[in-house]
Amino acid sequence: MTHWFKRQTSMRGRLAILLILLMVLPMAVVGWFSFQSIAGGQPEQTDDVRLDDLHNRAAFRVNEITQTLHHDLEVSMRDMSMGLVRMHGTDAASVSRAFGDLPPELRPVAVTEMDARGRTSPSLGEVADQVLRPLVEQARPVQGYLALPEIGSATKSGPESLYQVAIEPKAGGRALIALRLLSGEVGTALLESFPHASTVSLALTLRNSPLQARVTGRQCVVGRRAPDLFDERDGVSEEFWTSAISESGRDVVQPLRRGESVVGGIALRDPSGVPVGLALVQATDGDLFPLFDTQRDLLGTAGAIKASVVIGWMVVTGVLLAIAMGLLAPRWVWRDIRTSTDFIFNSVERLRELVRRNSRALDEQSQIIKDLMDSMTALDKASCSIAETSRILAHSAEQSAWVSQSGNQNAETAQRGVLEVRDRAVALSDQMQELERRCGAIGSILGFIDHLSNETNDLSINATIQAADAGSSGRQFATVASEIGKLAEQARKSTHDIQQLIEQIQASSRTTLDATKEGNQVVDRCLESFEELESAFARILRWVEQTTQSAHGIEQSTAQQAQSLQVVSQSIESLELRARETVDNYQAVVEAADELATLGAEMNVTWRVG
Amino acid sequence: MNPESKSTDLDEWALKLLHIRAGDRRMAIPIELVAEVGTRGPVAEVPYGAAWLHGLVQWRGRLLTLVDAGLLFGLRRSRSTKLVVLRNLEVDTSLAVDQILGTEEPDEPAELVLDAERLRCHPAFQLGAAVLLNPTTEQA
Repeated sequence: MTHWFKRQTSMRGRLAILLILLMVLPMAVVGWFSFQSIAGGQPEQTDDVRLDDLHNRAAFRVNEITQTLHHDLEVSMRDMSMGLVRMHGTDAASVSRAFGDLPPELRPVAVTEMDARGRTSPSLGEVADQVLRPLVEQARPVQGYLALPEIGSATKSGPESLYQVAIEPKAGGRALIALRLLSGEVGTALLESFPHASTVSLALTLRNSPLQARVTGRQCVVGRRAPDLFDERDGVSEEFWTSAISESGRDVVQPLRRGESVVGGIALRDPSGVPVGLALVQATDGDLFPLFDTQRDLLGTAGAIKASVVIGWMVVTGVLLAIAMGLLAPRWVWRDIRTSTDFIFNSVERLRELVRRNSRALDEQSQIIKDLMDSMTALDKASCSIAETSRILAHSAEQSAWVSQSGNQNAETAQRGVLEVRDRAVALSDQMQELERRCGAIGSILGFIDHLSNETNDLSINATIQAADAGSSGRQFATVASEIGKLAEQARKSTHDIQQLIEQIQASSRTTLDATKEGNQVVDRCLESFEELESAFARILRWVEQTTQSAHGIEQSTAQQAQSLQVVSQSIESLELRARETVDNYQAVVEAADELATLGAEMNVTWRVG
Repeated sequence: MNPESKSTDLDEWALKLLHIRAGDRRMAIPIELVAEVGTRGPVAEVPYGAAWLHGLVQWRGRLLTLVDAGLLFGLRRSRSTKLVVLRNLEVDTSLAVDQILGTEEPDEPAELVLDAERLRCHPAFQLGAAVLLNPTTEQA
């Protein structure tokens, strides 16, 4: 700085700089004072008594305003209901007749009618139709508050506002609906009528409605009501809601102190007294950032400085107003920067905590993914082995089917053989019976021959006797008769032998016949066994076919499963990759935040020095 | 016809015997007493007749008494339908035998020879014997 000053060789230049410095220094003091007074509010009122008083006054204002709001709402609701009753249509003339006596801000923004099919005419938009349909279907007078998208907007993403709604009961299959906007003026009025608060928010939460409306400053925000919106940060805790709607007698909820904020609420009721909504007002005394509270200690020593600065101010005000104003601006900028750096500090800390938590979560996620991958690999192996096993099973089943079929064919061949044996046995039996019959015939013939030989023998004896009677002349005849008798005896013996042979033949044939009968019985049993064998083979074949089909099914299923597993595995791998990338990104964010924090700290140090 | 003269006229072969079997005994009958051999027809039983009297049979138009040779000379009744028609006796009679063996000499000799004397002393071969021997007839 001194080197730079000395380099200004021109005396006039040096004088100019000194003059500027003389003007700038008082202004710096004035600027410092102004900065402190604006940043810290009113330092002499920072004691607890003043703060309590402020809170009390704020609470009183909240009560007052909410009472007024409630009153206005009730009155307008009644007017609306009365207006509806008087209405006969949705045309401009009817609306004018019904609501013409109301001030313009209380007139409805839309009057429509809904038919039995749930269609509004003129159209209010899909979301409005959906929300209003159950109310219309109740077919009784309904009044309440609804947060709806802008009338006529067809999408849910459009801006939403809070409406007061009145529905006339169904008449001839249709119902009349009147909607009056409740945003804008009310929020603005609240904001303007709360001088000591730097932030005012108005929240209107409708019971049994997924929407809530919040007004912060002049910005109206209507959004979906999520459970986390009921936490204490917005002053809309669950207990608060409960106490608000269960308050008997008075609708106004007593203001609650939560830190530096004052919160008040009002239960919105329909004319029958049933609470349908909750209007909340949150007033924050002071600024959002507590940094300036710590600087209030400096303000106690500011009195002496203030006097000199007033003198300096009076001397140079007229001359250096423009320069002073020009130099003040950076002070405001500095203040903003300081605020911002602190904000950055806090944000960085929060961000770092967030990143730490996220990193932990990601590590756990990675571990889980790894375990999952291991399980998937094991599952894949298992399914592969199952597929292999089922393939082997199918192959074995096919072989079994082939063996079973060939066995069945062998059995059929054997059965044919047995049938042939049976046929031959039957033929043999027939032949044996024929033989028996012929043997019987031969026996009877032999009996006849035996009889003949007997007779012949008798005749020969008689001839011998006759020859003996004839004396010597009968000798020759007696010889012949004796020979004939011998022949007859031989014939008789031969006949006897033949008889014996035939009896042996008959015995053998009877034995054969019996054996053939037994053989037939065996053959019958054998055929029965063959039938059982055949059916058993058929069953085996059927089982084998079923087994083959099942094995093929298992194989296909496991193949599909393996395919699916591969797809899942790839997805998990990509997921893991992405998770790792996310971790890396988070790491980068942490590093960037660290750098940012370091930078902010350096900046703060620099400014404090400056 | 005189049997005495007849037997003296016979040659050696004419003195031959007819061998039979009856009542489990081998017997022989001289040829001159045998008229004929054959197989009998139906037998008509004689009421109250003796046990050995088998009955009456028709033979070539004549009625003959049938005497059971097995029961009379052997050990039991004869079981065959063979009969031997006798001749040269007082009555026309026949013997029921089991088997007629023939006129040839068999391997074993006959145990009993039914010659004329043996037969004639038996009432079965005397006239009217069949009736007389009946007890009922005797009482009547």
